[in-house]
Amino acid sequence: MPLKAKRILFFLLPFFLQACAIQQGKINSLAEGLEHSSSEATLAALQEIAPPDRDRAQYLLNIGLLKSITGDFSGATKDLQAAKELINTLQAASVSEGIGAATINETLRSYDGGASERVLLHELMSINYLMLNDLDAARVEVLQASVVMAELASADKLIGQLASSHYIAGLVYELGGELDNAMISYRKTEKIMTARSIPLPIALKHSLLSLSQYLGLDADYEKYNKQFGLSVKTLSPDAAEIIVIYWDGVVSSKKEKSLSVWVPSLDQVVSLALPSYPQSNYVKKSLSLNFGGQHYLTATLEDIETLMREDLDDESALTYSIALARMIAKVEMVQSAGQQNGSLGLLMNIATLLTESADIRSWNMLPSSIQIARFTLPQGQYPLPLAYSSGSTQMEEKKAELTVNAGDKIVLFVPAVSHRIFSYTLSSGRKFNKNKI
Amino acid sequence: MRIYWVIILASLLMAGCGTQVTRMDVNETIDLSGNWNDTDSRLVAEEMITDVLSRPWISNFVSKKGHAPAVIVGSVRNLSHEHINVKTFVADMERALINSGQVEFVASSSERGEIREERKDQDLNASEKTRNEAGQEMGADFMLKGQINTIVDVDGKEQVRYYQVDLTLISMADNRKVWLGQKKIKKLVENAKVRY
Repeated sequence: MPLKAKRILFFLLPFFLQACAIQQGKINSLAEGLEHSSSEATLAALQEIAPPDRDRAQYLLNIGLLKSITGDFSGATKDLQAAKELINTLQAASVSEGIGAATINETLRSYDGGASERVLLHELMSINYLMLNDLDAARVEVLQASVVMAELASADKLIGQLASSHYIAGLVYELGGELDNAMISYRKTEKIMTARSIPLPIALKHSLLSLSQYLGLDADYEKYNKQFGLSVKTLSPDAAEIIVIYWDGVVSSKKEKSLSVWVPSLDQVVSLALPSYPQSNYVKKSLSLNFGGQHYLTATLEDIETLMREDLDDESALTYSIALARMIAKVEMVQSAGQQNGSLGLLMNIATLLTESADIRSWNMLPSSIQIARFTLPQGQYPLPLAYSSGSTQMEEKKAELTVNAGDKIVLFVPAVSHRIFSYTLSSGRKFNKNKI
Repeated sequence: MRIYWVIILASLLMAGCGTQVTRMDVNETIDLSGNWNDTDSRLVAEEMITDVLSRPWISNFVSKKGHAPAVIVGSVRNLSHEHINVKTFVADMERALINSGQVEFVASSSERGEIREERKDQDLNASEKTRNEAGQEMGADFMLKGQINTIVDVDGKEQVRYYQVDLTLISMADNRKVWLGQKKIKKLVENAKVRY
């Protein structure tokens, strides 16, 4: 290649990559502002961005999530399904992208989601299908999540193993009358939460107790009874069960951090650009629901902030070694150019610094935590006054009412950032209804 | 140094190829992702049609009642780990059974609504000669129900996918199961480890 062409190519590179970095910065600032701005406005702003092909999965994940929390479950399902198919094809390692990452920077790889994100994608799709009144399709997503978790499973780590996905699986099985499968999923939820040292929500404790008793698993029932200090509550014939899935906050976005490393072979210090998560400022807020004068609080099922940091830590050794090898190659190239021509070496050094940037892409519109509550309500009409606990600003008062019939199982999906409640009702006669609020 | 430039260029040149369309025979088997596809649907339909037409439930019914049995399609639940359109092989079965002349099908519950609406409309707008009265629908003698189940075994990039399709014909008169059809499909799916 002629020297002139090389120079042009190398000096254009930073501009090309900077344009992508600016777009990523826009997406990150939209995610960071999501908690304090309208979800619809964020969706509209995100839809105006045309991502490069390699960022398409991240784009579809965020668009799908925003559509879900604003109630466009059909649209969300299409986007999330497209993201799923794309991510599946990207699981094979790309030779060309690998070369790009090893020579220029990590953002030249196609975004294929972190381990937890791949599972959360199925989890969100399960919720979407429930809200679309399609229990069988929700079950399909539950099974797909279990396949992904099996792919990611390792003996000594919990990477890609999500308590919330197992809980949603248990719930979907329970709604479909598959109580033995539900019990297995609730047990897995308990196992993962215990391994992560997260206190078990009372909703899960009651599910484990009631199902072990119903299925005649006496040893399990005794164990849970002793462990939780709770006994099974008998469901009144005129009551319905309410299950709340609450998404609180917005997960942190990755930031770029600079790391200086002494390289003996170069006899100099090189600076690496690596992705990192800032210290989490997330303060957990439970959702307090008031029905008929009784307050029901949600409890944490999944700490997404922690999951995302675990995923990044798991990848960090590989990311670090690639970044170091890349930086050494770049420095050698700059030194070689400098020996030929001093000013060329200087320009190449600037270009090298500009092209070195960390991959800070993530599904950054996910909630900070997933919380649940489960309780019974006597049949009747209930206004839906919603309020955050922990002294947060009051949620907008809702005029809508929740209709509760005897024997119903009602799933409420409450994303805090969109200030909305969506519901799915499985009526006692196994006749499905939907009630959007 | 030269190699470095070649590598940079190669990594940046991710040119897309134009769309290419090749028409093919519908019976040709092409497995792309390993997911349930038209071939699986066709295999299920063929197996079920051959089986349902060769069993004695039809002749038993005809000798007892003196007319061809009327069947209604009930729910065929997808309990698999894939979003499978079950309507394709059910439609194939319906077509084959109707064309055999041995079985009649009546509209399913989801289809009936539209027909009843049309009949109501006829009542108002069609001439007396061409009008179809309400209350003349044929009741089904059997209901076709079923489900698709899967078992997936995963090890890294390899999966063994086992599909089992079960269909049942249930007598509307006394809940007897008069025919049970089953088709099993097993696939080894090895996902690519490397792409360009």
